[in-house]
Amino acid sequence: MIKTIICDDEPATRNIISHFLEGENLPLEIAGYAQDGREAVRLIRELDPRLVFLDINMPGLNGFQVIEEIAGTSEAKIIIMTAFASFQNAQQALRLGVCDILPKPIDFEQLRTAITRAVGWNFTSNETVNLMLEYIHAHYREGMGLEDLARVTYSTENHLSRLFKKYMDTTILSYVHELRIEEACSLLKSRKCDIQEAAYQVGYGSLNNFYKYFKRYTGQTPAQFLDQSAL
Amino acid sequence: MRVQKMDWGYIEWMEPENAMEGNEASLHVGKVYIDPGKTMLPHVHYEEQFVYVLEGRGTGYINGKPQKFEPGAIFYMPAGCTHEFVNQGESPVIHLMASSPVSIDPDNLIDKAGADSVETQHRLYAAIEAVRPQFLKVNMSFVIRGASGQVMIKSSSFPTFCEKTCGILKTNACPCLKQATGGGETSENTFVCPYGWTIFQVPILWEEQLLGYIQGGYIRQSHGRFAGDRGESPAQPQVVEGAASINREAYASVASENGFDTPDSSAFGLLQLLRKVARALRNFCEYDQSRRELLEKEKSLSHSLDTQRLLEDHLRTTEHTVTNLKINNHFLFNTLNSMAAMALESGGMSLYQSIIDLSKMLRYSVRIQNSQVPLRMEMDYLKAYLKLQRLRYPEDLTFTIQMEEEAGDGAVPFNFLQPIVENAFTHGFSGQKEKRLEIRALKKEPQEGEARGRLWVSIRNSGPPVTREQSHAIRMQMQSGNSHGLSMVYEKLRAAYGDAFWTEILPGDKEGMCFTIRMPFVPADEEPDECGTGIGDR
Repeated sequence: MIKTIICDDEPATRNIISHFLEGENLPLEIAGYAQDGREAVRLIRELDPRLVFLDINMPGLNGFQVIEEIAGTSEAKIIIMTAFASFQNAQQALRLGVCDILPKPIDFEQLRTAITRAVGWNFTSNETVNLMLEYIHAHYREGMGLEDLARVTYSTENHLSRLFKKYMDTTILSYVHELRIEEACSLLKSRKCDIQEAAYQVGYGSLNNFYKYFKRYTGQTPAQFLDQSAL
Repeated sequence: MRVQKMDWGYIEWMEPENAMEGNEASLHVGKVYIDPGKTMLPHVHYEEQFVYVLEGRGTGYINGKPQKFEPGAIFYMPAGCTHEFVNQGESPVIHLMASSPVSIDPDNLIDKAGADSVETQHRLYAAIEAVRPQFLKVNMSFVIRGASGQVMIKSSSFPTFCEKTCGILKTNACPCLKQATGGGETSENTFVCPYGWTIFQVPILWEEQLLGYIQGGYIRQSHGRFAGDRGESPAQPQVVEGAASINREAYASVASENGFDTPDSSAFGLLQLLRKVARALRNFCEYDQSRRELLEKEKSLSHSLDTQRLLEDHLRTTEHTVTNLKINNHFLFNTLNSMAAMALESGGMSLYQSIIDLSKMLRYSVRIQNSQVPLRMEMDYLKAYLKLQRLRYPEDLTFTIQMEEEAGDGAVPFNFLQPIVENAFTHGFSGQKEKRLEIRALKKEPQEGEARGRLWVSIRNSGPPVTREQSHAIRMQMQSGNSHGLSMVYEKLRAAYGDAFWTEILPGDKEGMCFTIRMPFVPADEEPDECGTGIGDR
């Protein structure tokens, strides 16, 4: 579950988000609620959440000022909310590195999209699957297996495999490989490392395996991919 | 010293002869001898006169009031006064006379205030009208004729003889009025009419153009400078055509009974006056010209000032509107947020969704009205609008929106479709229970000779088939320019595409109406800014 706090001087936003969290099984956990800028800063420092919903217009410090205050001390993803989004607001938000902007009243679809972007992976409506996904996304670069997942979810491997397949339409292992190869591609493309480094980075101990799965999911060898991306 | 013989006596002029020939004659001094029993007939002084009686006795009438003329008597006669004198004694009356021609400021002759109400095209008419009020004060006989000799205006009084003999006031039959005005020459002309009256003609010139003549005087001189029989004088008057047949001598005596034998000074004063009037008329023309030009300039200036003021007003109103919108928006959307939360709390999911739809619509319409947006956004807006309409007609309203992917990228005027759809609700469905709407948009490739492709948008509604009168009425309404609903659509299309768009209102396949718009396809910017310009500027 992703630790989240909501900062808004009006309770409406908190109510709407809570409502959808429960109803749609979003993988968020509301850890705290701030009603003004100062309290927001305090909570963020205290609880160190991964996700923050931040209203621009709050008493005390406004949303932007809060972001400036916590800069450097927090890795949280910020989603700001506003009754009236002007271009200036959007530009300023962009420059401060905010993850997304939500207009009020909070629309569920928009909320979902914002959370997905903040979280980084597509979550489902099933808590267990979300737990698995969270773990996978956090640890796929290391060597990990089904037994790790079973441990984390207090479930059996069989059950997990079936559940995952049902919601994600692919096996756990495939999903993991896909993730790795995707990252490898982006690493290669950006020339951050050579083929061997890339393989290691994304979690493949053996180059052979790397080549095998790379070919399977992209249809090319790493070398060919490199060549092509150079053009 | 020059002697001028008169009917009633003679005058000894007391200055060198050539003093009278200059145009700037001022003071004339003479000694006047009036024979016993003779009468100076009533006449008007066009000059100021100062009289000092030396010898003799008589009664003079100045402006109708009798005055006793006896040695030592002093009289001042202002310009324009009437004068009459009878020498009832047996010896001549001798008096000193000093006279100065009337100095009328030609500028004063122009009634400038009245000139503003003058609307006539013909310059001379305008000038005459402007100058006329002053003429009445001066009390002289004159006729103003146009450049080709036609009579334009006559004074209200003429010598009694002229009135009786030629009926000059009532008709234009008098020979003096037929006298050619020098055949278009631009110089002065003095002539004697068949009955012995001396008449001056002074041209009215303006900017090298002959506008007409002012003809006046109507004086009689038996032996004056301007009399008909002086051969050597430079101002030799012509004798009128047909005059040969008239017995001048006979008429001379008739005239002498009827017209005051005018001293040269008076005659000259009259001529000067006529010249001044001519100059006044010319001055008026010049003045009028400048006045007209000034008026034109003022008009165009005030017009542009008006336009500017109007634009400023509009701008201010718009600014206010925008500012008001900004202030209220915050309140509005926060309130909607609270309402959305309340809806969820009480389990009203569809209410929640409606509030979201309404907010979308509102957010969209907050854009400055003349921006341009991608068609895609316009369709989203329509969808939100229709979903809200469905609240009112939950079972009856169905709609489909089909838009080609490519068509969505086209730039269109902001909010140009919703009024058409709205029209379907107010008129198209005509109270029918079942309401169906079909909205389609597609992009067509450019044809021969076209640079860009086309966007086709059609809005089809169910209901009674639209009649020709109805579709005509709709079209009229669109082009009415009354800034309401459908006419706004038309104005926006015009502002964006000029003449390069096309609308069609036809009955649908089996029912209702189909409204089609065809316009050039122009790719829209990714992020339309808040103050867009017309489409096609890119």
